[in-house]
Amino acid sequence: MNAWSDVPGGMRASVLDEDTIERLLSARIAPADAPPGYAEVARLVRIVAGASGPSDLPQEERHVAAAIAVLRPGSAATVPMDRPRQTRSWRRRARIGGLMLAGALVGSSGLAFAGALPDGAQDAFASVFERVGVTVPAGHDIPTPSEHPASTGEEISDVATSTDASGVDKGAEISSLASGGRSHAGQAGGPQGPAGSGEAPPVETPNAGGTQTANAASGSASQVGTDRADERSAAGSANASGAARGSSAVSPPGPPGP
Amino acid sequence: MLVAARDGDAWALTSLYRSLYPRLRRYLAAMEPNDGEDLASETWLDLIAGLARFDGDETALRAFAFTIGVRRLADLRRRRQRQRTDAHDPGSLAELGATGDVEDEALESIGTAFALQTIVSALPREQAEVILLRVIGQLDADTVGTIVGKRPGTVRVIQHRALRRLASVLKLEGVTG
Repeated sequence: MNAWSDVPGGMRASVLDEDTIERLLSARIAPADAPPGYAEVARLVRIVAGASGPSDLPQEERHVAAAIAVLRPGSAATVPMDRPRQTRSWRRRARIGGLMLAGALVGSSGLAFAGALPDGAQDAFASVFERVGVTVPAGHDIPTPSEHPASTGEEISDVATSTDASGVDKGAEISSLASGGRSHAGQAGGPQGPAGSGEAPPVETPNAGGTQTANAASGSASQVGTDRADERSAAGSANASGAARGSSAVSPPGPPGP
Repeated sequence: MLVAARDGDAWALTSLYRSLYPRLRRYLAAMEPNDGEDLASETWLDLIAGLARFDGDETALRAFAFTIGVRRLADLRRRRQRQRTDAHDPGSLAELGATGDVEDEALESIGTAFALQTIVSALPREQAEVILLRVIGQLDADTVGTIVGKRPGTVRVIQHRALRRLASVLKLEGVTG
């Protein structure tokens, strides 16, 4: 078979005039009335130009609904087509994002009132709420877990066993450490509260020394430290006595211990 | 009807759709069998979007619709050329018409799809485009020239050559098939 462009000259169709071409292309020439060699062309043109059937309108409902939605944006027509769906999806995402933001703000505000946010965030919330007249604790006002007296028992114990102070001074030192510096125990300088100072004593009077004040201020941590100090001190004294007895034959007697 | 369609009346839009969409779809599916339906949908939406600023009668609206369709077709082809994912070699379409058993497929019984395929495979793309716009779009040579960006005289030459070639090919198939 020849190529399409290589049509034999004997098979060439007759030359068409302008009017015939127009009638042929508008499907107004029946195959039987077509010029010689153009009957099949006329048949083909009639088929292609033929009326459409239901099979040519597979998505009529969707397309008309989409058109109504475009021309009447407020209408209730459903538009299951691509471009309008993208718009709807964008709006839905924005709505969900807004709800999430609102939820995060409400949740953060609750944490801010509870003082449970990190210092920076807590300070920011405190600053914002302060402007609208709501008091929220700032980050630096909230004690951190390391500042809690109960967590410093071991340090208190070390101080209690190693300090040279005694009596009121020892109690004041231990109390001050246990309370993070907030205890003023022993600062009056005596076992009794400052007379005529007008301040109520922190513990029941008479208060034998600062130890009880320290206990009250430190949540008994001071007493624990004192007890341990006493135990270790007693053990140390016993060891010292034993050593002194063992060395008395060769060593001159020393001065009595405190 | 156009005024009612612009206002979004369902009956007018349905009437407009039935008069335009099947022809658009037929033309675009003939030119791009795999993407004709999508192209026709896009064209319909673009046509609706441009309806508010359209001014003219129904013949002008048909020309407007096919202008959009031809542009969508050109856009698709440009995209394909950039992406180089077109699995169809346009030259291979010419062979499609000869692969069927022509003796059994008498022209009287062929369907629209086969008739379209025959035209597209028998003619170069430019000639097929002009013939299909004239026949399916029911558009005159001047309007087709405006749509495809050619002078009316050039369109007339193209359509004359296309008809002669079509007649020769169909006659040749009838003799040798």
